[in-house]
Amino acid sequence: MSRQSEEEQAAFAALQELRSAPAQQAAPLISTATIVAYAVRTTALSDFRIEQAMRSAPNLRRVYHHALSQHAQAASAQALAAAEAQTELRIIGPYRLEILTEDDDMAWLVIRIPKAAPDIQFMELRGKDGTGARIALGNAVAGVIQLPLDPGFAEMESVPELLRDPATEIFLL
Amino acid sequence: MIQQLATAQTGQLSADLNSVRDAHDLTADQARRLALKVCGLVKGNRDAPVFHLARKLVATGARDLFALLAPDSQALGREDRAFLDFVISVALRDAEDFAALSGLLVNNTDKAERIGALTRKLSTLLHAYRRQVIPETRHHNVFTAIRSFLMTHRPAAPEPRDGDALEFWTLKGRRDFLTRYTTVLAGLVDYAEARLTAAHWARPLEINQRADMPDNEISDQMAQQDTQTVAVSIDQHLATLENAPAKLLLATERETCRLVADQFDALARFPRSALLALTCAPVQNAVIQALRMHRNAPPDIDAPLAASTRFAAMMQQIDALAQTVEDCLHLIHAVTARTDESALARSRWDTRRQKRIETMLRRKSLADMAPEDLRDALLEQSEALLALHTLLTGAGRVLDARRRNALTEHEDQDRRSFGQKLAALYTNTAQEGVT
Repeated sequence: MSRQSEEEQAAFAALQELRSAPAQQAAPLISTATIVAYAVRTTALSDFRIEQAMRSAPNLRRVYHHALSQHAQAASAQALAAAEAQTELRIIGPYRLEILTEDDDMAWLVIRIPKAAPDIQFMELRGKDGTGARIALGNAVAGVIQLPLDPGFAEMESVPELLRDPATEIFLL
Repeated sequence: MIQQLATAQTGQLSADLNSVRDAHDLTADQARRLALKVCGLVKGNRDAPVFHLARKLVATGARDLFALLAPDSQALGREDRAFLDFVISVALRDAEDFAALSGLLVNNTDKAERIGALTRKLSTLLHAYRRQVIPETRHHNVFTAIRSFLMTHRPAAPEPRDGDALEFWTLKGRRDFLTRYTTVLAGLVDYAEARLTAAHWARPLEINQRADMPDNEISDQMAQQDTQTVAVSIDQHLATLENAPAKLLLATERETCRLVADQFDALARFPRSALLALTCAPVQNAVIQALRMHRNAPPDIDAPLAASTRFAAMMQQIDALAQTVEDCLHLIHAVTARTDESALARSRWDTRRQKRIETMLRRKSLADMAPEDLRDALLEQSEALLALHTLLTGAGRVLDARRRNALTEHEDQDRRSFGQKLAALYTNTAQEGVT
C-alpha cells in the first residue's frame, strides 16, 4: 500500500471514529464580542453566566482583562514590591486608593483623585482565579471618593479581602 | 444543508452560530450568510470570505483585534464583526493562544504580508473548527484524495482536467467515501478553483495589487456575492416560479434548470464531465433510491443508463429551455406593455415564436386569470426568468466555446465506464448500507 493511500485510509478511519463517537457536550460558546461588551459595560451589574464561564476558561479571562485594560482610566496588575504585606494603600496611575479601618467589622475605601485626572465611576477588582466584583463608586467630593465597605452587603463581602491581596488586579473605570 | 450539518453531530455548530447571531443581533439573512461562510459553503474557494475579512481588517488600520469587537466600534460592518467574532471565539474556546491572536494585526509591517498572514491564520483556525464539528463536510479528505490521485497519475502536470472526474471516481469511489459522481465532480471543481486562488495569492505582485485596491472595489456587496452560490439564488428564483399563480415553466423544465444551475460551475470548467453528471448522475440517484426501497433486489443499471439522455440531446434541451425562457420574457413584455408597444413587440415575433407563446397563453393557469391579475402574476416572475435566461444562455455559450461535437467524442466510453462503476458499487454489495 502506498504512503498516500495509507494516509487516506488513516484520514477515513479518523472520520469514521468521529462519526461513531458519542455526542460530546461542548462548552457553550460565549462570544468574544459578548465578553468585550461585558468588560466595557456602563453598569456595575454582573452576568452570572459570563462570570462562571470566565472562571473556568482562562482565555476568556484574558480577553476580558485585555478589554478592561483598554477601557479603564487606570489599572494596576498587582501591588508593587513595597506593598507586599497586607497593604492599606494602592497607587493606580494618578489615583491613590486607601483602606481605612475603623473597627474589626467596618472599613472605608477612600480614593483620592488628582485635579488633572479624569473622573471615575466604577472600580473593578479581579483575583487570580477570576473572582471579582465591580462596584459603583458614586460622585467624588473635593477630589475624594469615600465608600463604606460594609460586609453586611453581599456584593461587598469579598471586596476588602480582594483589596488587601497584592495579586488582585484593580481597574478604575 | 446547513441544518443537516448542524444536526448531524451534536448541534454544536448550530448552538455556536446562534450565540454569535444573538450577540450581534443578526437578521435571518445575515445569519444564513454567516453559516455559509463558517461551513465553507461558498462559491469557489471556501477561504475567500476570510481573505475579504483580512483585507478589511488591515484596511481599518487597527492594531488591536479585540477593540474591533467593542460595541461602539464602527470600523467593521455588522456581518464582518460577527464573522470575526465567530472565528476568534471558537479558537479561544479551543485553547488557541490569546497572545498569538491579539498580536495578529501588529506582526508584519507590509500591508500585503499582513493580509496574507491574517488570511492564513484565520483560515487555519476556521478549518480546525470545521474538522472538529462538521466531520460530514469531508472537504479535507476529498482534497487530500484528489491531490493524491493527481500526483500519482500526472505528477508532471497535476492540474485537474476535463474527464478526470470519471477516472477519479472510478478509482476511488466507494460505498462509504466519494460515493456519488456529482460529489467527486464538485470536489474537483472546488479543488481547481482553490489551486487557482492559491497560485494568485502566492504571487507577491498579485497580492500587492489586490491589497492596494481601493476599498470600494471590494465592497460588502462583492463579499456577499462570493458567499451566495449560483445554486442558492437559482433555488429562490425557481421557488418564485413554482409558487406563482400563472405557471410559465413546467415542472420538468424547472427541474432541468435546477440541474444546470447545480452543475454550472462544472460546465464552465469541465463541460464533458458536467454533461456526464447532467445525463447519468440521475441514474445513480435512482439506483440509490431503489436500493433503499428494496434492499434485497439487485438494482437494474443497464436499462436506465441506456435510457438516459444523450449528451447531444442534453445540449439541445438546454438550448430549447433557454428559448422557452426567452419566449416567457417576450410574453411578459407583450402582456404588460402599453397597447402600442405590445403590438410592436408582437409584430417582431417570428411565426414559430408566435405559436409557442399562443400555446403558453392557452394554459389553464394563464387563461383563467383576469387581465389585471395576469399582469401582476407575470411581472413578479420576470426577475426569476431573467436570472434563468442568463444561466441557460451562459451554459449554451460555454458549450459552444468547447465545440459541441468534441464533447460527444468520448461519450460512449464515458457511459460504459460509468455503468461499470455503478455495477461495481451497487450490484455485488447490495446487502450493505446505502450511502
